[in-house]
Amino acid sequence: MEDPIIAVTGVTKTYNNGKLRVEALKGIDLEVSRGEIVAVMGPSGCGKTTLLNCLSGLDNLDSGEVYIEGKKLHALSDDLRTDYRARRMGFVFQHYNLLPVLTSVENVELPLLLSGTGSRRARGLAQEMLEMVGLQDRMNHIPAELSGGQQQRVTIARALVNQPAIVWADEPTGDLDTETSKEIMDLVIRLNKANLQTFMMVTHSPDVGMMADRIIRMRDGVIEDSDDSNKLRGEQ
Amino acid sequence: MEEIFGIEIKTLMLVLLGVFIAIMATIILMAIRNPVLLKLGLRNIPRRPAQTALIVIGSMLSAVIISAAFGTGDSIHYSIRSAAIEGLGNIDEVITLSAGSESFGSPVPPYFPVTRFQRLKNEVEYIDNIDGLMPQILEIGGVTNPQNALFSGKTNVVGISPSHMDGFSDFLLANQRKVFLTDLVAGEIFINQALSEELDAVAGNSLTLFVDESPVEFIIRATIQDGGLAGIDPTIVMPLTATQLLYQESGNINAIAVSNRGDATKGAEGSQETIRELSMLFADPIVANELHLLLNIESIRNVITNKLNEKSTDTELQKDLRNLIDELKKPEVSSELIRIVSGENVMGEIGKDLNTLNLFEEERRLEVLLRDLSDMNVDGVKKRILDIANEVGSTVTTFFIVMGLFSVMVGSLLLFLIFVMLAAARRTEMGIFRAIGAQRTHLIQIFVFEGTAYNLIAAAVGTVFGFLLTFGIVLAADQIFGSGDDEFSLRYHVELSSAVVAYCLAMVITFATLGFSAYRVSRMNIIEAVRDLPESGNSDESQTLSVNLIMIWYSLVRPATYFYRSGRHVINTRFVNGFFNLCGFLLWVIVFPIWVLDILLSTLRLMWPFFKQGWLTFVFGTILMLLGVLTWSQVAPFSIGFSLMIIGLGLVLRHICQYVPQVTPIFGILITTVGISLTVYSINEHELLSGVIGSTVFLIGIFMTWPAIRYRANPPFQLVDRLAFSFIGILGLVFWITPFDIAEPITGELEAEIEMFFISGVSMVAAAVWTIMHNADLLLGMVSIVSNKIGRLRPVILIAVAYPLSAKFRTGLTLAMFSLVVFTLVVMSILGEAFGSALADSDEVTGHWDIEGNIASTHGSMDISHAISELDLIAESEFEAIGSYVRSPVEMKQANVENQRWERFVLQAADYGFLRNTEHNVRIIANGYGTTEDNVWSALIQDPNLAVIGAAAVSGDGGPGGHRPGFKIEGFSYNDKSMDPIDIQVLDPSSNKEWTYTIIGILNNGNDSENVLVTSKTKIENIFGFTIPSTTYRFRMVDGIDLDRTTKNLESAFIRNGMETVNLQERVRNAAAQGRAFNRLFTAFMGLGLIVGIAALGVISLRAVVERRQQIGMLRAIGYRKRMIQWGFLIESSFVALLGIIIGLILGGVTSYNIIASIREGFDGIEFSVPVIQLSIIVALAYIFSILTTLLAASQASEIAPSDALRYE
Repeated sequence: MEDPIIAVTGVTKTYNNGKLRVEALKGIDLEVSRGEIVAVMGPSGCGKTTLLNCLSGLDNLDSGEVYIEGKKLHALSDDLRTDYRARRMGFVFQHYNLLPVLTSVENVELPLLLSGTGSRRARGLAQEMLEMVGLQDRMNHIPAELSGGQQQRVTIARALVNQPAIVWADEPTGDLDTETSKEIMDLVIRLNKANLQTFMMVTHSPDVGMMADRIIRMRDGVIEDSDDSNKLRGEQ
Repeated sequence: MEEIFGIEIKTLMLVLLGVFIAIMATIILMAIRNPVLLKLGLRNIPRRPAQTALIVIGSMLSAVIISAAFGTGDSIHYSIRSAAIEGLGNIDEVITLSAGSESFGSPVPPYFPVTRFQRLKNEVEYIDNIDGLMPQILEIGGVTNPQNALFSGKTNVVGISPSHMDGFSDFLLANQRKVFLTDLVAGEIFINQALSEELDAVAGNSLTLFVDESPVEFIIRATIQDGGLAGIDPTIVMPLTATQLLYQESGNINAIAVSNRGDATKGAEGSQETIRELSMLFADPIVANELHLLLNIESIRNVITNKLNEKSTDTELQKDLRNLIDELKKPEVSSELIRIVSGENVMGEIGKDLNTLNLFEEERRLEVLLRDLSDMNVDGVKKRILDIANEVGSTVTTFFIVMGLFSVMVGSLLLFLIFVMLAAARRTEMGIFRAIGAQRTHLIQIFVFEGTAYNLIAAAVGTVFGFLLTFGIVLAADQIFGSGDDEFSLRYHVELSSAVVAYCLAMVITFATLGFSAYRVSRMNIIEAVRDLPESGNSDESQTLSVNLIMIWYSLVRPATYFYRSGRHVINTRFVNGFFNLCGFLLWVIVFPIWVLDILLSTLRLMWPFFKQGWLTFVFGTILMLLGVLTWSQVAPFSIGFSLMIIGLGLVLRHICQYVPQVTPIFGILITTVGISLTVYSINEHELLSGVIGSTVFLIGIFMTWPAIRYRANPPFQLVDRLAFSFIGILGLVFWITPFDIAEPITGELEAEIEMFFISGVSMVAAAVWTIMHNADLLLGMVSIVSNKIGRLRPVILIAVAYPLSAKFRTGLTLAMFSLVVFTLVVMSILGEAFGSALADSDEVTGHWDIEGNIASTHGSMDISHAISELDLIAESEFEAIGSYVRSPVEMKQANVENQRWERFVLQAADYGFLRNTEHNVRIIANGYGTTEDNVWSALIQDPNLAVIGAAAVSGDGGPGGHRPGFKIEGFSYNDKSMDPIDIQVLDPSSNKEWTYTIIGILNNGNDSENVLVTSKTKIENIFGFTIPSTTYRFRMVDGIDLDRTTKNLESAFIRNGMETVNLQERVRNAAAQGRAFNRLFTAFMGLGLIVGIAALGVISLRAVVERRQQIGMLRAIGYRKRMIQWGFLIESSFVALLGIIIGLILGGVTSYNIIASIREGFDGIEFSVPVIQLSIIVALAYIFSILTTLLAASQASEIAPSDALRYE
């Protein structure tokens, strides 16, 4: 693979709470290309979210190496890693995790403010992003006043507003009905095509997986196989 | 201490103990019936030890404050009581000659033949209550110790008969060995320890006592212990016969000490009875007969009968009145009749009623006869001091409790907050519990069980801590006040009854908070709770009107229901259930208030919807306000009523706006109108504060009107709510912060007690917080605009402000706590500074005199100027002015005012030097007597019929005389700008002489002539026919003279006259310093509440870490550094703390300004000034500690690993 945006070799991660020792990742090797949409699938407890957390720098590794855009992420200090996330990464979570006390536009502009964008410009970009996800009339609503789908759109807007290189999504459609899930995934694909951003999604949903460029299947902390979803779609 | 709030401590203890036992019994019964609920409640305690500790600390505070207040009162009561008992020993009463004595202002009682004592001795044989009578001579003189030249200006000289020591304690040496007066040979004396220490004199030394300025040498035989017949002030004790010879009063004495049966403590208990018995013996039978006839006049008998039938008449008085009626029916004067009429209380009440019924002639005759009834005065000196001890102890406790109410309130709010947050944490599990069939009462019970467990420990620990705090307060107060008087020291003492009252009171307050919190917690919506959705305000409690009506009926018959159920269970052999229901029946019937409370709560539940609509609140408020003005003349009900009217009006208008949206602008229009009215008032009255408030309110009104007009066709409901609630908050705030006297032209003068400070403080803080929290989004917008300029800090500030403003209830509660505490501290500091500064102006206080010399001038007057010219130690040129006066208690009443009775006051007869040179300020000068102080004092010199009177004789707004007993001028206020001359009558009770004066001026408040009538000596000397010697000399020194040195030199120079001197400037400075020190001590006591406010921020922060765990994970994921999370928490706490500090500072400042403005008229020299350093310390401490408390939570939050926080599985 040429110029992979994500390059992972021999990543292991073990959780040990004194009583129980769980080997969540057992030597993961992986490469993801720039602009690729990758779906990570597998049964509960197979290590999907751990992989996402380790790759995005939210969690530490026990061993192995992770290169993001050629940078050895885990060699950075916590502050530098955090700054890197703010500038180059976006996150979408299953439960949206919007700040309930801020309006949609304020939630969306947070990453911009963190990366040092001026307030006025941040507000403008956040509004543009919300328009792009179809929420131009919900900008000043707080999350409690939005539906689940609308909240996830805000989350996506927040994840993409600072033009990140990679967007990490953990069960982005887990809390949504089928129709809304499709809408969200269409949105993700549209934005991916428009901005050439890499999407790495953890999902249980085969429908969502089918919409990705590649599906990585995991079981018991290892990657079982990695398929081109177009091929899978073709097989179907 | 025996009483508090007018209630006997024992009664209070029994009532509180009863309530406490009833509550505990109910809880125990509930626990027995529902052991599962008990287990569910108690299992939460060990789950989170840190949280449990925090709850216990929060609950402790009420107990700490209450027990500290009671402990301090107890200690003061005990200290005064001990000083009285130890000082007086077995002396319970002192008999002196009262009538017919030709002396004026003499500090020494007049002499009478010793035969009066012998007669009395025979007569009291049959009085069981008396076990000792001691004939005495009490004199005062100057004493020097020739060995070391030390001197004591005013030393008591006591002559005692060695043969009448029965009933009195023997004299003891320091080693407890007894010594006897019979051991003394001629020229020998005993001195007490106080004199021994003052003169550094011991047994064997010689002392010089000056009698009529002539030196007499004595040898000290021994130093005896202070107290009893030896006194506690510097005293010489010698045999009566030697004293009679010394003062050339052979065959005479001037006092008889009486010892009641029992020891020094028990003796005082029979004092009332002894006074009555002795008064009976001293009664003149002819006068008694005339009294018998007078009291038998029909009009007076009617007065007695009516008094007897009055409901307010106490049992003791009723008994006397009943006996009086019986005795008056007898043809002859009986001893019982004399006993009754000798009692001041009975005759005082009858005199008052005669006055009320305009029977002035009868009243005057009664007064004259009562005055002539006896020529001897019996002073129950020990009982009097013990009563003072009780009164002072009770006042101090009341003061501490009322001021501590702020902290108690804040403590209760914290407890409430903690339980609300606990409920939020357990919401889902409680929802599930409700879903599977638990009733709301079950949830209440779980919380009550848990709370009771905390409470039992917290109240006990708090009571102990409170009494430890008392120790600190007593120690500090003793340091502050003890320096000036070595004889009296504060001692730590706590009564068991106070401990019980403090514990039970704290428990009851916490139970009430707990009950309310638990009730609120139980009103949850099951679905919202189970799904952890935001609260919509729709609880699952939906009772109809008819159900509520049935509930009232049910509460009325609840005991009967319990009784019926009990019987039914017993019949069905379910004895346990039968027993419980019987207990319920007994509880409701025996502890009657529970039944009443039950009915009231049921009624309130029925009425609550109508209160919420506003109209019933308005009606209730109107009734309360009218009662406050028309019936009770009290500020508290008026103010609370008016506030309820504002709330009611706001709610009614809100209700109307929902149906007729076009009227929405009414809120803004009304606010604007109030603003304009206040501004106009301020312009007319030249009153700055009202102007500032008025113009601000005007602008707010305009700001509120504009959106209402814009959306008048269809205003969003949020806008109506915002306008309605802002209307309530703003008008409420305006009402409480505008100067107090603004409504007086309409309401008239209303009475306000100290509790108004608490009510107004709580009300204005509540109104301010209410307004802010209902406009939180505006504040957030402002912060957002400001933070735009701060760049990278903006995302931190944004969330730090957004979180507290979104949790309105929680933040509002914390803000209220913090504001309330800062408010009280600010008010205390500003008032303390203002009073301290006003009282520290020694020239204003003393009339610009520097030194005061008091002498025991009982034998002739002294030419002080001549005496000074002959002094070696001080040059005559060092004196700028010298004046003197004598003060004597008199009775006074206003001439030409029919309904006035004789009231006590003090007459100060001054010499030319004093009247010419004093610089006491005259506040109001009577028409026709000039315009300057000089005019007034010159008039007094020229016309001996003229006088000026101290401010204590004048009532009025902020006038000092309002709450003091004694003579008052009627029809005149201290705030009046002018006056006509006022004629008064003066009666000297010793000689029964009566004369008149014309008052031509009122002296300023706050000076040392506040309680006296000042006139020249000339008229009194003419009336009495002899020169009246001065007992007080005042000296003004030229600038640059060392006052301390001159003060000592003067005392030394006039030791022959028994002069005791004091540096007046230093005394004023010391008094002001003591005042300031006590204010700081008290501020520190009030600052206890600050701990709670700070703890509240800590609780909220810790809770926030748990609640926002996922959100913190998300923030870390999208790029918030650890430090930014930490800063977010710190800024959030800072925001609440600073907002609370700002509210407290503004409201405290405005309140202090209002208080000072309202009393400035009556308290010259008092000015509003801000003690910047003290306030800075308070603000800094409050802020720094709130940040320190939040640090732990902030650190915990920043350490949350994003991957852990975001994990769902």
